[in-house]
Amino acid sequence: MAVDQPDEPDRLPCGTMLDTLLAHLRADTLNEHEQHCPHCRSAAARHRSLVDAAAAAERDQAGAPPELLDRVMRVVRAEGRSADLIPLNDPGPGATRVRDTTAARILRAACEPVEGIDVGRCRIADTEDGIVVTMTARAVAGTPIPEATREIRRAVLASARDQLGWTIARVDIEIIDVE
Amino acid sequence: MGIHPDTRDETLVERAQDGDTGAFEELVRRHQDTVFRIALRTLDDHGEAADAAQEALITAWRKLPDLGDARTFRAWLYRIAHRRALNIIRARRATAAIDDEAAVPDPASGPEHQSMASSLRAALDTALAGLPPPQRTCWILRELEGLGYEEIAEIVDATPTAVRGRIHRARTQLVEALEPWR
Repeated sequence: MAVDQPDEPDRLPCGTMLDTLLAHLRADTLNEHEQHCPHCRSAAARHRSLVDAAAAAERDQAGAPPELLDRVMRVVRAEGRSADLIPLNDPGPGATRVRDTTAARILRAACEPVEGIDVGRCRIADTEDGIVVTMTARAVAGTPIPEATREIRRAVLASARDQLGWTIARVDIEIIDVE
Repeated sequence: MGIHPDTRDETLVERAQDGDTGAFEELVRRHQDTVFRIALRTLDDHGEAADAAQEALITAWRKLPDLGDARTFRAWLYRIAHRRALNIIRARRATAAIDDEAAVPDPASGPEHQSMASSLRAALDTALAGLPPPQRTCWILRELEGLGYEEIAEIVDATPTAVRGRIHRARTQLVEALEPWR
């Protein structure tokens, strides 16, 4: 065993990482080895007061002031994001346009009931071909992705038609992660 | 258009990047306490910490579209808060004469007036106040906020190895300071 372990100053001679030992000490879940190994026992005895003090400190930590959320959200809502306006097929008189960010919320909400898949980004572009929706999504492990994306498309097309009066040219879905 | 409580941060971040203020609101709900505490521990002033937290969260909203990997949001946000607080400290030092030493938490009254638990707590506060600030920050992020070394490194702008070293030194010193309670 090297004398100098700059990357691992916290590995005990028995191989246990101090971090792991402290986490177990704190959760009161010391394993068989940690309960009997002399290195672990002595490290645990040395750190017990600190672990107890930290647990107490963690319990009475200050939370954010109650008005913080409102203050932040007031500014956020006032600023919004720069948004494109996309026309609705509205016979008028006058024109109705919807912000792309608003339309994205409507489409994302329509996808919420689809099981096993979470839509993240949703971009809407008014192209020569018509309105194109691009989504990123994360799938829950084990989800049959083709079925889930079929349902997503169906939900997007239906809500675009019913709520926005749009005929969507294309829905591109990028699965970016499986969890 | 409710947000499921189990919707992951990454998904909310992506929605917020697209301009969904509701998604951002949920992110603020989830992280405002830690953001506030990061500022509070650096500034030791409730009002200033509240202002710093507010500025940090608004900055995060403005810069969010530039965040490349949504999974790094938490560390990225806490880093904004930490830097904001440090900037306030620097401005404070630049403008104010050194009229009083940086406020150190009251070491509190003697153990005889308090339960064992709270005097141990007080001893920890005193010992923490005696640590060099970078060590104190790293130890707190690790032990009180439960963050990983990589995330802490990102927040305080250091390497994970340096963070490990700081936490190691902080622990050694804190354990010594709490020796009487063993």
